[in-house]
Amino acid sequence: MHKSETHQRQIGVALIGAPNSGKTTLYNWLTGSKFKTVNYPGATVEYSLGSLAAHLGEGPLVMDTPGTYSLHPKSADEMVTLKALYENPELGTVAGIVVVIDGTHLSRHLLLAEQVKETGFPMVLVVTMADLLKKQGLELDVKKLSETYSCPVLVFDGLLGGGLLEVATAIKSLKMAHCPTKPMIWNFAETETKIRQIESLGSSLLLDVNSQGSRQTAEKLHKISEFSLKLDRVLLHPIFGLLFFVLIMGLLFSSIFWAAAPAMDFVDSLFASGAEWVVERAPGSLWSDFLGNGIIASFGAALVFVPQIFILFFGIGLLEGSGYLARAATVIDKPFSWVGMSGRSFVPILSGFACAVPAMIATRNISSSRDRWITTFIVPLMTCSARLPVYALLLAFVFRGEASWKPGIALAALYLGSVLVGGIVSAVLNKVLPKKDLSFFMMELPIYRRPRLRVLLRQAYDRTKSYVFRAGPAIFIFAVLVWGTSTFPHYELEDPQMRLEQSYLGQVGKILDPVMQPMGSDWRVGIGMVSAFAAREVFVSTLAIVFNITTDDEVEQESGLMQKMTAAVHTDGSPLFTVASVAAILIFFMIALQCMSTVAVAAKEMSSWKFAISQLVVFNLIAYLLSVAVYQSLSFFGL
Amino acid sequence: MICIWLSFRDGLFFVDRHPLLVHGRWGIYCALMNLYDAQFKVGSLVEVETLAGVELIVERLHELGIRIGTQLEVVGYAPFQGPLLLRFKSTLIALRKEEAQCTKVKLISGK
Repeated sequence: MHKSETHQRQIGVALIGAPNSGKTTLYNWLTGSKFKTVNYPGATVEYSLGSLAAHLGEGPLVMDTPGTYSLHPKSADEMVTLKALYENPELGTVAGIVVVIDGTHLSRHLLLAEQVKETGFPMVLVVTMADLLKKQGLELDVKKLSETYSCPVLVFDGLLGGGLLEVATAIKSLKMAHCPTKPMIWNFAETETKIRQIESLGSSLLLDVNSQGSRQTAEKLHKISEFSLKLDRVLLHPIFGLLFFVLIMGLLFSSIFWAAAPAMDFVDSLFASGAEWVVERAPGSLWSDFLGNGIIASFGAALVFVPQIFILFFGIGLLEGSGYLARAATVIDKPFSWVGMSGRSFVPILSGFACAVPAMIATRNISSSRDRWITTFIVPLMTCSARLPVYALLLAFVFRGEASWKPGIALAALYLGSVLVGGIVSAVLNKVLPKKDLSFFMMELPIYRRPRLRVLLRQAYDRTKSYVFRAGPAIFIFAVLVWGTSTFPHYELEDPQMRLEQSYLGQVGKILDPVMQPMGSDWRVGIGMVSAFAAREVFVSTLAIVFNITTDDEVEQESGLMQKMTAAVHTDGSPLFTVASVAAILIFFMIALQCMSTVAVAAKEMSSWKFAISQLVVFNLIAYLLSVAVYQSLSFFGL
Repeated sequence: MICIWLSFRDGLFFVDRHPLLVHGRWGIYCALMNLYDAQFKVGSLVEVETLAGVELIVERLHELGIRIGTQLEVVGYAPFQGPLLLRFKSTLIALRKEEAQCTKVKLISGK
């Protein structure tokens, strides 16, 4: 807060508009995607702030706000959005408001303009989706609209950016005449009257290019949604809708894996060979080891998931841009409501299968804070891609020499298991948490549109970038930490196994030995599990070091590791890795929250370290207890 | 039958003010159907008679542009008897059971 008091407040204007009104598209055009996201102090709501793109010249800062239908706040989050207009920590009171209105929904969206007008904020009306009107032979009466609200009215084409210069000019000339008042609250009867007025105004604003009949105008507007309606008869059908839902999500989900695999392999091998190259420059020296195995390998660990994240964001953008995402949320709303969430929780949960970090960021779209809380809590339970290498190794070990469909089934069971556990935890939370605010669904379904590839790519790029900057540092720091603790204090030792065993990490592993025994493992697995706190897949490479695999070739490493694992024994001579102990490790990885970047992001998104820490403790505790239970019962049956 | 039962239960004096009821002609009170429980057939057209229930939901419905007199077309029901799908003007919306129940309607065409 100090900062905002000392530095001079800048002038800014806010963009407001209904969800899907094209507000964010306009914002991206205005700022040229050069913006920062700002967390409103003490709240989880974020707003985006940016200066005008270079080719638009000097001007006020532009602020994007979450989509809203009215200025009358109904939730804590909406209250914050409203506050951001009046008492913005960086802008003070905004100098003006740009109301973005979907041209095909004039008779509804102008209600927001009416409210802004009442407050006395200087205002610009920007009408989007004019191309859809044009296609139906309809034209907006800009002059009349401008006279009604005595403010500039501009038509903006979101696809090509037509009208951008005019919008920018209008924004620059926004001047505060007098202090705006707080939004007036309308009672039921007033609202009814206002809606009626807006409706008749809205329909009088659309001119038929060919004839003047207002009846025809209504029919033409109806036509715009005709195609979407037909498609929805299938895509939202009680049976076929579900079928298509499973199909579309299956496609997206599998593409996260198969399409990303080559790129991930490339990133992986790039950093692996980079690390190797550096280490070879000065073999045996601490610095080259730090640079190669510490720094470069850690960067690799952080960046290897970027292709997957990009494809996930691209896929979600595709669903969002085409209009299907709102339908997917509608299809899944009922099952989600059984366990205390809503259809809006669907995207975060889906993203959780790639990585919990973007998934937690995606929970911002959930309007109910209770739903958001529950969703953020269970997101880390979803099988993220970092668990995959661990599952791959352990399943390959259990099913070595057996038909390949068996580990496949087991993998599917692990995925289903994570959904099941997530559902149970969510249902329990739903019972326990007090029901403070109402959970809304009430979703407007945008018409289906063909998304632009360029827009999708840019959006995916921006979101991926924000992921890298958010999660990257945490992953990196912990990876370096694991390197340090596994190297020191006896870094001079030649034998990597000895070095690890005597390192700080090795000592921690040995302390953990009594804890590991009940789940059928010993300190060697314990070290792997501790190192997995840097990133889960580090478990595999740590096991390789523990069991002294010196080859760098991955295939050979795995088969070598497999043999060593088969040969590994407890101190009493019984085999270390049995079906029971491996199953226990699998169960542990399925539930445990080991990813520190997830913890950091959870704390940031929920503005609560208490939340993040309790999540960390609860999941690891449940994971441990369950894996002990699994080991004990399986070994009872002699597995 | 329902309307008669309701009018006896509440007593004619209170019936006037009962949010579920509107005043008909000469002592005939007819119960309004709420949008969800009536389970209209797909393709039915209904008109909103009143919005009543949880205040926040009513306000939200207003914000979406649903008012007394709005004609809604029932487009379908989501899987698992989930949200109700409606169209009015050029807008498609999905309402949960609790949300649709705040919308009391009369049937214009369809079943």
